[in-house]
Amino acid sequence: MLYDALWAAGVGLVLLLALWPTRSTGKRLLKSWRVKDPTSAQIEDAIRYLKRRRFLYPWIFVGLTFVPLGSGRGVGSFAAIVLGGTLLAELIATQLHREGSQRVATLTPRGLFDIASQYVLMSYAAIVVIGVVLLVVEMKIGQLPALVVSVGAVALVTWAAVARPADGDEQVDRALRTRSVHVSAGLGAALVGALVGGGFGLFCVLAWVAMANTNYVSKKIFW
Amino acid sequence: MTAPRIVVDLENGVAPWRQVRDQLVRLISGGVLPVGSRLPTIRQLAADLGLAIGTVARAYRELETEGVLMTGRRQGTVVAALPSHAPDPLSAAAAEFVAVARSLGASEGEALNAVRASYEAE
Repeated sequence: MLYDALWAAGVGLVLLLALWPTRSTGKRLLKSWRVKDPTSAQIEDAIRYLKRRRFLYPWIFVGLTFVPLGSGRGVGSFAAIVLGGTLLAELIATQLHREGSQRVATLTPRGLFDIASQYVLMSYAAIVVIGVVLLVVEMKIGQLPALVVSVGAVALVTWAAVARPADGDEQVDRALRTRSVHVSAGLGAALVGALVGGGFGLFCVLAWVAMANTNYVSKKIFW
Repeated sequence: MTAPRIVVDLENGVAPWRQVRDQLVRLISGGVLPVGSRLPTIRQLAADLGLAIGTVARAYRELETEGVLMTGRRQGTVVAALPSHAPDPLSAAAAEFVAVARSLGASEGEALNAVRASYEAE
């Protein structure tokens, strides 16, 4: 077990170093989430957002070695780690307090469908329902608790992405909230696919890629 | 288009709920938030400003009592009517500018210089 944990920590550190965000990473991220010509401050916001998530990967890698069936699942294991990092970072962000005596807030309402595409959310819900049906039909009932946990994680990320206090530039803040919801829904879909397996698993990986790259939000955002 | 903002200064001697209320009144009077505009939930605005929920709730409640805001189950909080005794639009715009200038850390002199520069540029 200790050997597994050390190995996982090593893999997590290598992954952290490989994915450590730079200015070009932040700029690319913002451009892919519809922030055209990001300023230096906006890029810093994006880098901070990525660092907060990726710094958690090694710890989650180690943590997963202590979870029965938590490792060695290929796509499912990778998706669980990234989803775990997103979840922890979003939950930590809900606890961040405003500092200084002068506080600024925009008056733009921030409901779920103001920041997330209803198509992404409905697709994820459909994949979960189909996944449950397939697991029951194929008598893989033992996989259901893992599926329920993954749905709970996606739900928590979605809630936190809406509820957490605004941070940094408004446009970047909105874009990264959308990213958190869409990426976590995609990861959740990949996890469902990994639990079901077969052709549905492949379909879910494609759905993951599509959801994580959907930067379209159904309602108009005010800026 | 820039979204309207609320700026609360915890050290200016005016109660935070009052600052929120007064700025909402100015934004509504000045036409920045027309009738029918959706406002953020109390929880969202309180979180973004780092204030207690009760502080923002009081500002909203005061304006609901005056008939300026209306909260419904489906639509959330919306602007229902213009405030009575509304300040003239120029005063409202000036107050809005001052709030933004303060949020940028500009002094009174710097803000006035910026206004003059804008006039001269036209």
